[in-house]
Amino acid sequence: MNKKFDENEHQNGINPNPGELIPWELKEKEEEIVGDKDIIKEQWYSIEKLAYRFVWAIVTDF
Amino acid sequence: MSDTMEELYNLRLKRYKKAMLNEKPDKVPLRVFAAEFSSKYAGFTVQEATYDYNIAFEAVRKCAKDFNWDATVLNMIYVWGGIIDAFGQKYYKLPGLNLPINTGFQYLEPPDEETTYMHEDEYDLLIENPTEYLMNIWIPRISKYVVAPGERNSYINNAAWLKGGIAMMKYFNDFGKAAELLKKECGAVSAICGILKSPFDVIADKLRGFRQVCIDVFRQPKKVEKACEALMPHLFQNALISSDPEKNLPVSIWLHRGTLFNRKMYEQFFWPTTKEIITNLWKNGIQTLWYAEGNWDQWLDYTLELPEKSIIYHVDQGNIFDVYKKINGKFAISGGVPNDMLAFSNPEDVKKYCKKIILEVGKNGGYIMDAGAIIMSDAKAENIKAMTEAVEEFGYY
Repeated sequence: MNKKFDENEHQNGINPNPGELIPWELKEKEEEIVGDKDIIKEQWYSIEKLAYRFVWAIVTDF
Repeated sequence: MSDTMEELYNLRLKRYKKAMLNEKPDKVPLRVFAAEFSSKYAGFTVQEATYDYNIAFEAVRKCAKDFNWDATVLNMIYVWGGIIDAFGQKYYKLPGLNLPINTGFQYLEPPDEETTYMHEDEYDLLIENPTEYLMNIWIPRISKYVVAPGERNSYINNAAWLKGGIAMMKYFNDFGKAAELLKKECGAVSAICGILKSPFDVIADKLRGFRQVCIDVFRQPKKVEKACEALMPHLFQNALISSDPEKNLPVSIWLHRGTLFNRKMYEQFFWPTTKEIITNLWKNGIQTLWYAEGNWDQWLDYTLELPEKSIIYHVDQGNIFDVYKKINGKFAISGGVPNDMLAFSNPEDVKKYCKKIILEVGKNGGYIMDAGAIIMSDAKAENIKAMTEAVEEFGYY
């Protein structure tokens, strides 16, 4: 039988929206952004979208 | 690309788009979804096409050229062996690995609660945070290599995530190149772009399994309903991300389990979230190919609630002539040529049946000629050719 879920082991406190795995807000909190935030955010989400697609592709495609 | 090939491609794209929008093109488009048939026809084993997708792409191009297809799917042997071996999904068997080399890949659904990848008491976790549930709980169970958080990490786990992601990017990028080659060498259109599954089908196919979901709809119906609602925005987003940026091609929904439940259950579990996703895709300018695997005739009155032209209604084992009457011009229709006819009948009968569909269902446009289901290796090449001949002889408006 597949191992039972253990709440303490699995929950990470991140509840991503559709289209992302790690919300931008978490990245933003890591350190003070000194330049143009939008440039960094745009790139962040260009990768997020692909990573999200991979996880959901396992469900829908493969 | 030669001018002639580019002209042919543009003509076919226009023809296909018009038909999908239920308009009258110059001719009935021929759009065929061929899986193992294409590799067999092109002289490859199923293992070769499953493991080397460039061979699968090549086989489809040979078919598109030889049978004069207007549109086709670049690789209908969609489950590439490379990505399965990289990420370690346990639910597939593959030709040449653990199946005979000319058997198509097989999906093995967990048969009971002991082996299912989502347990009966985990609906709340899925509902609360679907993506986290998949990554932390479901994927470690379905993959031979991935470990769950809290378990001892491994080199193989890290490699599986890395290789799985890279494999997907490589595969999807190469689809783009294959679409260009199909256009350049055959003047044919890549028929679909993007994938959608109904939330209920995701639960029944991949998460709980059909047998388990049959119990859940009685024992914990509210949880199943809430899980469908929780999956809905993600399946919408997944379809949107994977859809055609040019908005020429439809997203395809592969319909599975809804038709196996009663009316009340269809209304409660299957239909509301499926309807909302398709309606929202249409609001974003994206059509959906309603690929109704099996016989979906009894659900037609629900499907008719969808916005006009939002779907292309594909007929597999349903009665295409009845479907045509009931749809009454609201959506375009595709398919309807029975796969058993393509496997066991003769070219004369195939041609006769295609003619009947063209003259009745296609008489005002809005019809796309195709088999009822994906064409496997049992179809006869002469019967596939007969479909082409029927379109050439009777398909011009």
